[in-house]
Amino acid sequence: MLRRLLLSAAVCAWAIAPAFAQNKVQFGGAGRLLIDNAQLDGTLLETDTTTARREMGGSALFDLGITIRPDDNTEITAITRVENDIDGFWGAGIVFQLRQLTAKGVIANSVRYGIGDIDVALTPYTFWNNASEFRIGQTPAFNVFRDIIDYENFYADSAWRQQGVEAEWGLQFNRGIQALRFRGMIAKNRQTDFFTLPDRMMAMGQIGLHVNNNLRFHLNATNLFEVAESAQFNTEESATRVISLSGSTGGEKEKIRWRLDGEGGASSVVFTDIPEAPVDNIEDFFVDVRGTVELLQPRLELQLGYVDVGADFRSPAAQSRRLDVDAPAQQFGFYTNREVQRPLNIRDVLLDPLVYERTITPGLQAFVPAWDNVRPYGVATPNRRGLDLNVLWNGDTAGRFEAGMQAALLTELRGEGTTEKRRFVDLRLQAAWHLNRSIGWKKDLSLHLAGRYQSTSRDGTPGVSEVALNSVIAEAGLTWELIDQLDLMAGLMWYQADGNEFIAERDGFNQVDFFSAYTVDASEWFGSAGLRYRFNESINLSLQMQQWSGMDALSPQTDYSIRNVLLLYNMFF
Amino acid sequence: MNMFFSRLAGFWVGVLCFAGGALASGEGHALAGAPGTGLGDPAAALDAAESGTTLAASTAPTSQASGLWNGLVDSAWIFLPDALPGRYPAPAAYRDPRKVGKPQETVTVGGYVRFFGYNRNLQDPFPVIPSNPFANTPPYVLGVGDVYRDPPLMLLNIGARPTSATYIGMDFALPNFFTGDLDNPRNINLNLGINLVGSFNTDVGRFAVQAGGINWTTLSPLTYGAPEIFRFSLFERSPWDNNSTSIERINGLFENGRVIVDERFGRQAFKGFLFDGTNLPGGFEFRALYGKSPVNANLNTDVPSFMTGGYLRRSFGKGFIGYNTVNYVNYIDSVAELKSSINLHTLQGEFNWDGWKLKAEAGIGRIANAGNAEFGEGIRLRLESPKRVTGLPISVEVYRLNQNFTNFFGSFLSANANISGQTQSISGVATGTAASFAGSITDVGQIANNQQGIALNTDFAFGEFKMNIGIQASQELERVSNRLSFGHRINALPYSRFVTFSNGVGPYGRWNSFFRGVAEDITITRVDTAGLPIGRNGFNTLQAQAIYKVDAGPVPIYATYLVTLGSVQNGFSPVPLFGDSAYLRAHYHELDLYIGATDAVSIVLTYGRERIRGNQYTDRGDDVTGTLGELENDPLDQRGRLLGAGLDIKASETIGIYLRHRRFRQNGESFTLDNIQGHETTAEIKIFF
Repeated sequence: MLRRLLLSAAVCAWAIAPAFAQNKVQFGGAGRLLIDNAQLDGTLLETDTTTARREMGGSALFDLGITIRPDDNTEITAITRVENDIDGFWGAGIVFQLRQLTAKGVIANSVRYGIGDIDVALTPYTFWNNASEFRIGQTPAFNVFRDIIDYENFYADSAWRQQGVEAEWGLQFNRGIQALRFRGMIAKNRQTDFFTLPDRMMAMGQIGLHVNNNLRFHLNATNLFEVAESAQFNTEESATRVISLSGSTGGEKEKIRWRLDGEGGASSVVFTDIPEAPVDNIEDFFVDVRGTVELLQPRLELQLGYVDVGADFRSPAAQSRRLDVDAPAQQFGFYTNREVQRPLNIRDVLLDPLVYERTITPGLQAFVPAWDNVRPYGVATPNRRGLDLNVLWNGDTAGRFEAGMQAALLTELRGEGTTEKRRFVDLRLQAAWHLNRSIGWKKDLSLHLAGRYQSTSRDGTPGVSEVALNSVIAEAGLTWELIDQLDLMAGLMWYQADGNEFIAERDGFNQVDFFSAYTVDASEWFGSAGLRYRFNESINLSLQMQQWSGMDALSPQTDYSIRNVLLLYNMFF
Repeated sequence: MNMFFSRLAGFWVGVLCFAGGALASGEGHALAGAPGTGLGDPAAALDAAESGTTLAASTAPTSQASGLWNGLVDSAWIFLPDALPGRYPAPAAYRDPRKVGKPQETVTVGGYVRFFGYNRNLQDPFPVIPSNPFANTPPYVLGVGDVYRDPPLMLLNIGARPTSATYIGMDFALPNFFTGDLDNPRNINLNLGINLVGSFNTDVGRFAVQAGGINWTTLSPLTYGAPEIFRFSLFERSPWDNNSTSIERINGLFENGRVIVDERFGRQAFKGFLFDGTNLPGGFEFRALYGKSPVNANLNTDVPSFMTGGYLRRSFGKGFIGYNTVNYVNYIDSVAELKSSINLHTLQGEFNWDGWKLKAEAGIGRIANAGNAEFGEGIRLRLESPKRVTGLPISVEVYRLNQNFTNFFGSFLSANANISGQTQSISGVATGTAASFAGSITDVGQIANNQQGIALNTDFAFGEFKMNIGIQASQELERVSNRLSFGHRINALPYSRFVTFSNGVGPYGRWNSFFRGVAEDITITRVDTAGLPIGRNGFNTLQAQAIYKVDAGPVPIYATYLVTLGSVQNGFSPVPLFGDSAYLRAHYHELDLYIGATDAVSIVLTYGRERIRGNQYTDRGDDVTGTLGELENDPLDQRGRLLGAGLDIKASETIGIYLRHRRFRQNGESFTLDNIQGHETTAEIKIFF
């Protein structure tokens, strides 16, 4: 057996050997120059004599990443950042940062590890970084800035950036099952102040059972917990634990592929030595089952899913939001003569990297119901039950059309402040039409369309009025390659919402303690048009003229608009 | 911590039990693996990014797929609410630089180490603020660094070239001031900043962009440029000088008539976006600037302040014609509604025919503070004759610059370049601009606004003796000030280190220091009721620089003599005045001797004198009555001296050692507190890499 084991290990090592045949030191990074000159206008300025009508800002930055491989089994990556404000001359306005430091490798040819800044994801119910609002389409004029937002906030795929240690180990079997994989991670989520605020840790584990290529199971677990002893005057601590079992199977027959995926699990929130905390643990469970059929000719994919997420299901690593709706905007952050914080608008969401969170938070964060009321915390949003229907079609063999549709029909499991339950509808459509292929042009001419409709309703009861909230988001984008690699880009996003809701206000233990009435009758639109030159797919130079305008029927005196000219030279290398 | 570990262990117990069971039941072996993706597996990432994968593959977020080791397991989910169609990364994906493009195998590294040791010893402290003895310049200094932003100890340029047409770089200034304080960290900084460069060719021309900065750039002399003046002593070195010895530098001046200068010569600092188009149809080319000059920079507010500029040129033969513009815009109120600006528009042409050269630039400019303002004209013409026609190469330059034709960063001085809300000093002091203080005695070739004038330059040689002569005469267009300004030319550098970038300092509050130089003001006392001189002042300068190559066998020896004679008087004069009819006379004499002891060692000696005199219609001193300004006292009569020696050792092509010692003295007969005496020694070691 030992001989067989060594032989197998040797074969594996041989198989991966070419991946190591690289230089010991490699470099990567990013560079950017951004200059933004914006102007504020609108009804607001008739009464506002304080807010600056114009703002200009910008900076140049250079992220230099160095990857060192001292041997075949070790890789160390450090990324430094130097950022220079456009207003900083002669050494002023310069910031130096260490953006990332990671060591990873293989121990004893069997255990892979990572230390430092690592990107972690498991499943959408356990450890998942969900996309934020207003990401319904793929308009290139907007993607230029979405890329920057994601890069700045370490949104790597659906992973959260963690500072910790991760390890993985696996066993491959000769009979019975294919393989077992073990993976674990622990990271610091919050630093103690050594007196009253304890350390908070984020832990994750996964065991993967690969029966064969078509049948796999995973046992997933996360734990966000405090360490009371880390603060000398503290005895209180809390922990949120999630465990789930996921599985997937599938097959292919002639021109049909099928898959069946499922995940189910439970969460438990435990408070220790906190007098005002709930006495009982907060516990709940979830179930998610999805079946997918893919027709290869024509290329059509259908998916039907059933979800049931308990009202008290808590999974911080899967429910933490990217967008911080309470954050101050970088541009025109305060307005009116009272200099109050200006609420975010879709322009801020599309352009401003500083209104996004980078860390996992234990509680359910605030959200704007008019922006996303159906699943503000991703697919793991608690208190939802219903169906998901997804359709994707790219059957046009010439690649002229692509289209997709997602629908979610959900209800609450438990009424909030009433016995009545909310009903949710989320309908999304996306389409891309590559016009150049239709008319035989070699250069790109594409039209991107996307839309989302959301509806929330709840019947009224004595003392509690009904809920009726509707919102529509539409996004359209045009890309026209005028000459080689020089594109004309245009994008338009429109959003409208009206109706009423009740926003659940939660205490420090995530328990609803009050409902505040929420009424909206507003619309916004944001347009962007300009030129982009692509040096390659990851280096581009763009000049865009943009305008945002918003109307709030409930507060017309603060209506305003923003138009700006923006120059961006962006490099990822 | 025991609780922590026990709970952590408890949490994993289920997981480990599961694993244990599997281990117990299976005959397995460990799976080996690579350190991971990211830079570790760039090719795979690149392939995935560029493969044009199917919609399903590109949109499916995968469980576990975002860990350290992507691709270990197949996808488990598709069509989550985040998933979108299209040939793009999943919407939650970001453009991780570790996964984009081919990783760089190299970065470029260059720069230099420059140790600059400095010792100053003054006989008496120099009063910076007379009423405050604690503000005095320390008389004795032993330090490192020449007080300006030369990078002590190292300038480290790091750059990457992601593609053949793109580049990004930055220049670290890594300090070591040899303070002996190891407790406090030494903060690194950038010398100029971060630069992103890109270029591309099209059917209609070649285009290039420089973004970031500081970039050193130019448009035209009148719009965005700097005076190109070559008459100066080579005794002193600049931080940006290369590793050439004094004998090599003077030899270059002797042979070519020019000294080697660095990239910033004739250019100005700019941050932002610079876009060039060349090889355009019809012989056109353009440059566009959008960003910040030093006077637009303000870290304390987001209220807009910026500059725009550019040129459009059409080349023909050896010449061109073009249009240039520069605009400095500052919003001057807190709500950014009031705008002040300086705007200049010029037409420019350079023509060459049969050895004759004509350089001409003319246009209009204005300074508008919170409203409209009148434009004023600016004209500068230079005609250069061929030697075969006129016997000597003669350059004739005429100019006329209205006082409304003002500029922070033109090749002319603008005493009135100031737009409200500007946060930097208006003078050439803090901003490093060509703006100046008052009517000045300048070098030949250095012109100022609110003046019209003429300048003649020529040069000739007799064997090993070469000489260039220039004479400039100008007169004010309007009477705007009774202040006059003169520089301390022969000891400019050590004096400027007394107190840097300051106005109105010194024993009589007349000193203005700027980058590597100082000047003093005096005022004309014969004024009208408005406080202005009775007539329009005239300004004159005569400069001659002689270089003689001594025939001393194998040892190269050069002797140079540079004389500058300037005057300011009431009315125009074709030549400098030497009598008391001039309000102000400034005479400078600089004699240098360069000896090439060996190929690697050269010696340089310098002797200089200057004398500044005012007439009876200027400020009075305190030499007779002891009370400043009383008429019984004498007007300005200031003398300065310099005696210096230097040694240059070229240890290799990349390593040089440069020693300088200078003894200086300045005293005023009538302004008795004008008394400076001391010496300064510097040691520079420069290593390029």
